[in-house]
Amino acid sequence: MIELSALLLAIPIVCLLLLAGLPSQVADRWVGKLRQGVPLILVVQVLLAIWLTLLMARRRDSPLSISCFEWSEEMGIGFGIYLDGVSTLMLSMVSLVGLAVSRFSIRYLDGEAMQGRYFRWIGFTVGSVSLLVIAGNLLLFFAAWVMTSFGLHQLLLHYRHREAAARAAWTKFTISRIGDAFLIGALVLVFQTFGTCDLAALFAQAIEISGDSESQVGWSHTAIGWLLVLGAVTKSAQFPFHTWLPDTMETPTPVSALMHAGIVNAGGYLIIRMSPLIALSPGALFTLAGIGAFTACFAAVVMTTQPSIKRALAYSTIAQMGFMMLQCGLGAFSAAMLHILGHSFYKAYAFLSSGSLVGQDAAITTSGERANGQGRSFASLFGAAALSLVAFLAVCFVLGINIADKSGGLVLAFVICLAITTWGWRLLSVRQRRTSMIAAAGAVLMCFAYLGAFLGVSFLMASSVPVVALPLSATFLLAGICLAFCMLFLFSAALSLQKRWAWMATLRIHAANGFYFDALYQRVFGSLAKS
Amino acid sequence: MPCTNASLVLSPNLKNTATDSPTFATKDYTMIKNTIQEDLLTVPSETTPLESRDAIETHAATVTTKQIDDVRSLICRTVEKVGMKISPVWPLQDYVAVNPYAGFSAIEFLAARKYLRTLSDLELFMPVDYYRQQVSQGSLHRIDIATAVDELVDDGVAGAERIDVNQIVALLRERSAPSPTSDAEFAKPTNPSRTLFTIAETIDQQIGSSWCRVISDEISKQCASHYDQGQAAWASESRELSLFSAWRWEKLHDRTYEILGVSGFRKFVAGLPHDANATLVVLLNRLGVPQELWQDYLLCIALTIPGWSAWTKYQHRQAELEGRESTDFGGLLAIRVAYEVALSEQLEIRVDWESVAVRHLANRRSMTQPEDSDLRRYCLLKASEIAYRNRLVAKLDGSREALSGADAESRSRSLAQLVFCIDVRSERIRRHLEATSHEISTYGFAGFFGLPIEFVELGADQGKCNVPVLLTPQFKVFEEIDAADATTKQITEDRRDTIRFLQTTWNEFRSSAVSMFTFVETMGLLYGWKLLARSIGWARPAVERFDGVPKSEREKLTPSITRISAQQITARKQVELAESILKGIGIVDHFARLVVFCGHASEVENNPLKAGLDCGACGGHSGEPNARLAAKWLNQKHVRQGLSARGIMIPEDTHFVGALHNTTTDQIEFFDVHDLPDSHRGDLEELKRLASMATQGTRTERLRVLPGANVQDLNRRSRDWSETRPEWGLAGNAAFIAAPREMTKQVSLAGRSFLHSYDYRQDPNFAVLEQIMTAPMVVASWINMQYFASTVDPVHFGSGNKTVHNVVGRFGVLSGNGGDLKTGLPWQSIHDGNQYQHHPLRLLVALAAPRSAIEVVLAKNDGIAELVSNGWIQLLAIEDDQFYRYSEQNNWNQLTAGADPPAGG
Repeated sequence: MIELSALLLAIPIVCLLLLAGLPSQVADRWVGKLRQGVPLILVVQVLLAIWLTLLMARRRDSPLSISCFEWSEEMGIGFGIYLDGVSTLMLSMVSLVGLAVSRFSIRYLDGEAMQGRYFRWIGFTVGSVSLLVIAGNLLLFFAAWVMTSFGLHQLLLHYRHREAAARAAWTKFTISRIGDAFLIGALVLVFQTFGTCDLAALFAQAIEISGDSESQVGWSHTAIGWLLVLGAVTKSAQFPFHTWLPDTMETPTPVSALMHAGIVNAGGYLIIRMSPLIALSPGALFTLAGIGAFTACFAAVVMTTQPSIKRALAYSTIAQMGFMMLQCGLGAFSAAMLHILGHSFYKAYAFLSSGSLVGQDAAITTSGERANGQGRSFASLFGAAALSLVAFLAVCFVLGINIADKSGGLVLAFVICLAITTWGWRLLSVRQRRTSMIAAAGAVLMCFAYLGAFLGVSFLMASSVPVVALPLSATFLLAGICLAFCMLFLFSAALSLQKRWAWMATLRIHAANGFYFDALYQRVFGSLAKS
Repeated sequence: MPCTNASLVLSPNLKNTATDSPTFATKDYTMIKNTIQEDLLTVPSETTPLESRDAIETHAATVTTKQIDDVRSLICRTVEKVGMKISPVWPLQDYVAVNPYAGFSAIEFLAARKYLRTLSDLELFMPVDYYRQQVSQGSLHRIDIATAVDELVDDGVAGAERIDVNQIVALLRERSAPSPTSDAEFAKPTNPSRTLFTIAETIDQQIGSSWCRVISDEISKQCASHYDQGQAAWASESRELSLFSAWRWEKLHDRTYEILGVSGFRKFVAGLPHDANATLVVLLNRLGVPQELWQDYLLCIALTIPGWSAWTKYQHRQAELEGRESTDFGGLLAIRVAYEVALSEQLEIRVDWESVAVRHLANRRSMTQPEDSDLRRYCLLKASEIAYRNRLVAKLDGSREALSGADAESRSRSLAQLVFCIDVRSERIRRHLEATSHEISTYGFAGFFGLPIEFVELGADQGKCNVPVLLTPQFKVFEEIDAADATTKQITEDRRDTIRFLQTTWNEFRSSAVSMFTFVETMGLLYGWKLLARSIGWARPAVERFDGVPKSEREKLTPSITRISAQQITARKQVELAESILKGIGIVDHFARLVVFCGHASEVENNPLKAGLDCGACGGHSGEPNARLAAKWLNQKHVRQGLSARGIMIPEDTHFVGALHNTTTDQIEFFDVHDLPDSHRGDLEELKRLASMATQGTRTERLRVLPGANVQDLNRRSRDWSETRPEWGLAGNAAFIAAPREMTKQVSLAGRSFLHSYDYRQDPNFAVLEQIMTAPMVVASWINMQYFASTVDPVHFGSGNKTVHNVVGRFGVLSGNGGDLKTGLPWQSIHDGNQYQHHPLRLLVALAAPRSAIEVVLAKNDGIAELVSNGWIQLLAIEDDQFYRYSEQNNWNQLTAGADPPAGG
């Protein structure tokens, strides 16, 4: 049955991909059919994806690999799909976000002269991402990777008369091609080293190597790891390839939602998908953790200075992607997967509802400021810290999780406790029974929500990702990351307490400008967009 | 004194220091002195540097304090004059319509256009294609054009007698270009009459760069951070300073402009005076702009960033209301000029200002001599206005005959009188209500119902000004739970406070730099569900208004009248206000059993421009509090007694009720019905039944212009978070009619008319007429002109395409990443994708009043007279069943009504 369902999946995806063949003029004439059709196809795809995820949960230890139209079975070149917990989860998320976005666009872009063209490329882009997710061999994966970028490029140029839209699109285009170069390098090396592109075969070999003695890990294995990591860094807007993301607001809001929820995390998916290969080069992974941690902190600081909602959301995405890369780098692939899912849903929702901001906040700011900055004592800070720690450990105990066991578990637990502490501190400072109870209950519920979801995701994908053992030398990196998050905590606390030091004023100016990477790219790519 | 000491900037007292005062600081003083010296000396440019240094020394004494004072007062006056040409824009929460051309009403419409086009690319005409379409749709005819030419001659427009109708008809026969699309705003305009450019524009034209965009992005970045109302957690430390001081300090550190190619910009800024006006003097002299060009050049500068110019003007307005002084408009000009000067010095571009001045001033002088092509397009505008006017006059004329037949109206007690806002959307629902029963009559009055209030929601610190922007609130009205005891009130307030506090902390948890990662991991999956639910239309966000109020109490949440007398609104004043309300509406006798004040509000989702769809007379808010308060006001015993002493007898069994017209779904909701005596319950039930019939009728009528399969679709629009056209708002508005309802009752005005009740027979000294002409009529004209400007000039006065809107600082919208602050209406509010839903016509004001009375009011109010005689509104008097047009030459021409009523309308 699962094979049949997997093959059925080809129908919606092929339909979406075929949209690219429809000329824009025709698409615009058929806009009524297209804007009904694309969401309908995606409804089918969502249902199939969720069904497949459930099936996968039942047979979780054996991934499903189907190949057809193969040119060379041995080399794994042809059309093949590879389904396991990772790909079905990701596919469900991508389809759902795609559905919400295309449904939203029906009314949102109603009356636009080019709505047909828009749906043509929305459909194609979602189709490409879906193909990327289920691709069974590296060549197909790469093809889908490039197709996604191409589809997105068309969407970014939806308002082609907007100069800034063209500049952002071409900046993105160039960075994507750099990423492609890394991936091509990885592809060639993989083929040379392993003699196949088929994912199932590749993973089997990789697991064999890592299981065996160390002598078999050659330079090419290491190089493959590095190239894949670099490819992921360019795709997921990691520092210093991040500036295109905040600049892509010159295109309709649902495109931003799709990009931030369904496309930018392709880099993370690449790492998780290829984790058996990348695990062979631990150096690359730890570097990724470093890049991720830096990007997270950098973008989080810039985010707090942005006065416009969409740019703030964009910098938040960069930071979130950084955090997700950090998790990947630490070998916490299940946590990274959970992060991708949660972030995608949240960010899609945040973009689509970005117009609600005015009313919501007017209501909140007119009242309820009584406890702002009041009584934020050290006592309540310690109380909140203790509360979050106790809640987290208790929930771990109840669910039977040994956090020290998980790769990167301690660092991630530390970040969660810091976050809950920030929240709890505010609530405990009020010194009322009701709010303190809410803080306690909230802390426990959040830990449950997190650890429960974590268990669910790892249940689905445990067999697909390797266990990475951190070398002793990584302890410094971990300590550094913890320190960085402590700094972020202090920074947030200073902002919320309205505490300012003189040097912060100049720092804010640099941060508000994204530390000038925007301007640098603009200078370089400004001329490119025109030519 | 270099201003690098951050501690100084951080001190909140800095705004009181010399750097920010409106007078020049000592350093600025010397700097101006130096520039003036240089200016005086560099005229003979052949002098060698050595000679010029000698010259400075010898002429140092020639620059006197008086000269500096002169230049200071000159720049102050110039900035003020330029500022008067710019209309303010309100923040999104209380967005109201503003006439962007209000600063030009002292000039003829046509001359204003020409003047504006000598120094900017503003446009006041539709493209000829638009009129081609009008002709092909049959709504514009040759006869209208011919009439237009005649009227232009009557109006004394220079060169009008040269216009040849055949030429215009031939022009309309030419092939039309493709229809405009939503990104038409990026089409490059051609403007041959332009003689004054900013330097950035000149450079962009010559080398194809995009410095204009770069500069407006930079300014946008600065202003957005400076005026941010809570978006950025890390707010600008210098936002307590004036705009210019903050900018000056920040640009000592900001490297963006340098990286983009203007090296040494930080140094450049460090060399600028600390005062905005002083900076303007220094920079204008450095550029070499002759003084006679200052005003036009600065207006040209202001119009390159019309959005932020308007926003700083709003700052001035607010400062004035609070008794402060704002320098931000001048500051903005100085900032814009500074970018310009730095750029020109970097690229070593010199502008020959002398010859620019000669050409520009000559061009300006010819402002009143329009060119033939402009005259032809003006004629088309006029013709389309005449076509509309003829249709309207024909309708009103026809209705009079119908009226005289059905005049035998019974004078028995009728069921209900409903007072609506003058908003054009009220016309439809009023017509349908009246059609349900002859027991119902309706009235039109400004939707704040004469109550100048600041409405404070339950538990809020600040109130909303529920008055037209021309007025300031006189007293505060607090929301309370009706008839609840003190403890219930306290508990509700506490509960609301806690909820709001939890929301604040939750938002912080969601968005703070350290906790946002955990937020998406713990709560993110829930958003998958929310995403699906909102897409399907199951879920909608909670209504903040009812936070902490239990369901059973929600109906009782109401504006309270009890705390008014504590604010110097004595019983006597209450009676006076009540009298003026009733007289203004025109209900002074024959009170029905129910008199309903019906405010209006829209119901939309996820729309930052929502306030634009709400009641303009209530400052862009819902009209509900005013309606409910008005009803309570007039239900008070002591007010009624006081009124009877003044000759207004309200029967015992007349009861006032507050209501709200939901303009998106056309439902009418009645409030505070628990106060109603049992004897009136039946009446109310009957009224509700009739109202729901009217709702159905109105919805069916609206389906014609709001394409949708059925009436459910209208309801869907009010809840759909992806809807960009929830309703048409005031699109299509074209006329303002102040007349007894009998005159308009029999005809459909298609939701295009502001209707104000007015009966001159009850207005012996024409005080009400004057009030109507000075307040509601002006507001209607503002709305009309806002729609006009957003339609004819979406680039400058429209807010572009909704799909790329980016809410900035919680007070405005940007289009995409940056660029200017967007004001006015978005493309989706005036265009349905196939055709315009708003037709740009200058407001047609029809007053059913004696011509002599109108003349008296005009003579007393220069501002109104200007609007009329300069063609910003068209005035029509209805006297003795005849229609008279007031020409721009200030005389009355009788219209031959109903001569050529073309089909349709």
